[in-house]
Amino acid sequence: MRQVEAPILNVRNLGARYVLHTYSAPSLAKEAQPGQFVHIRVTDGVHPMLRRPFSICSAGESSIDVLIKVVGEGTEILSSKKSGDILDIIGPLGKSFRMEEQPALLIAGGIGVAPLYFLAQKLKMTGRDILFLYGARTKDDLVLKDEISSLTDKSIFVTEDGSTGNRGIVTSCIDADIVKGRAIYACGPKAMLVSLQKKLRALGKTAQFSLESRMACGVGACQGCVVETINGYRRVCVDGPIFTSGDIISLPLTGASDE
Amino acid sequence: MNNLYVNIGPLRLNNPVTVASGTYGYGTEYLDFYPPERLGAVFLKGVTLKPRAGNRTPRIVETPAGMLNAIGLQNVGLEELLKVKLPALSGIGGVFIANISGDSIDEYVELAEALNNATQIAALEVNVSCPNVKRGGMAFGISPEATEEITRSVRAVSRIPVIVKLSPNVTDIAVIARAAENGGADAVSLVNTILGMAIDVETRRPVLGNVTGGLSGPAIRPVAVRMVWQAAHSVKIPIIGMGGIRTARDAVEFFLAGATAISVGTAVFQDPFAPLKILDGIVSFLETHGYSSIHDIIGQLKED
Repeated sequence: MRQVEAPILNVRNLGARYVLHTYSAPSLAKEAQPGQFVHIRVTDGVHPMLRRPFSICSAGESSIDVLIKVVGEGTEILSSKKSGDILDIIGPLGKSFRMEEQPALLIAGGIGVAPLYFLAQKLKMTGRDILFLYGARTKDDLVLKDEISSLTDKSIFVTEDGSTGNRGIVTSCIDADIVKGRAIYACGPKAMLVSLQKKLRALGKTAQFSLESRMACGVGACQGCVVETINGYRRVCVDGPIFTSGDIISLPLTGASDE
Repeated sequence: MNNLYVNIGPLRLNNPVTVASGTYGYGTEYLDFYPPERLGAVFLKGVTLKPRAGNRTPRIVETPAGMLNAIGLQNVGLEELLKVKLPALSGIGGVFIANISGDSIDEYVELAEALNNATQIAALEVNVSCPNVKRGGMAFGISPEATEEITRSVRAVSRIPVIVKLSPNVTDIAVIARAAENGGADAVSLVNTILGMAIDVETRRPVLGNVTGGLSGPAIRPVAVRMVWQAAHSVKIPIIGMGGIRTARDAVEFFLAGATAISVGTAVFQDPFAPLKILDGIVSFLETHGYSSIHDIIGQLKED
């Protein structure tokens, strides 16, 4: 974990509400593992005070990508940043996904695709079979559809309005056949994870969930971002953000995924 | 080279910039950034006799120029503090101050006695001001009688300096500060967070799981400066001032108002290096204005 002054190398607008930032951060890029996040300072002023946590969406030799959805003041400010601007970034933070040996089932809802895209790239490098299930409200919210398509030939896309792929929600695709023999990794809005947790429990399966939460310190000091688990309140920032689905009692109020 | 030493009662600090309890964990969470010995002192996360689960979520929400928190003193408890957290500080340079909370005077006394033998601990901060727990905490700190009694009881058993942390949620801070002084406190620290609340107008529900929480950050700084100034007029013991400090100039306000040392809290979340930048800024301020010592500005507010 370190604090770096990272120049923005590239800003890629992905429709009206999404932007993909590439930051030059060699030391972070080398350490970054799928599931980990960075804590980005939004402003030098007094408001908004708190940093904003973002899953690492991709990591190259010397740069990392972060997918931002504009949902409030902090993300609004970040989305207005230009290539060449310098951001104060702390990371990589939190625990990464455990990469299981079995074939993988990745389940992404909305902006929850970010850590799973990074994971899919790593899984592919090790030759694992990947089935990627990716849902969002409309086709405009399936911002990494092309990237996921080209990464794996087994991908299923779902939109609530049917504007692309199957009409419906990702959790309705979950049954005994699709999860059979696969290690499951998921990230998405609270409603999706709650429903998924229930379905998996009925199927006798667990998954690794990547959670988000309102966060202050990001390093385990303040106990502000906790999630209620069978082991008590656990800090999303350092005990997570990856948690086993069966251990979670009550999910934290989430952020961008729920907007 | 400027003289930055300050004395908090019998406790000597290398510099007057400390980090506030609850914002710096158990002293090891920020080790990747810089060694804690560069700070005047580290106030550790508040501890209770038994582990506490803390409040239901959500526990934090950002507000204009600050934040509300209602952690509810989630902590590992005395036993794990002694067996795990404090040993982890051995070999790490720095002044570490334990922060204790209880539901009764007996619990404060038991905590103080147990920490007498903890070699890693240089002083005790007695928390009578947590706004986020049902019993104890602020319930003691808003009463001068209870504040004095707890202070006296802890002072009687403790072999290390005793600092009493005061709540701003009182009518007259001068009276409470004097109660701590009368009880034998070596110093007082103020302010803890200001009781606040935020409402989600869409759901018509309180934002925080605990309904109310403690407000911190730059939003509360003028209130904190005023209370430090009032307390400084009321007591002779040193004051550790805090509340929304994020720059050296903010800190200097507190020194002028009468604080001997200051704590940085919420600003650490924005920038873990904030305390060191503030310290550098204080040195520059002293040099620029021709002062040779931090003592040249402590309590030097012109009030004519």
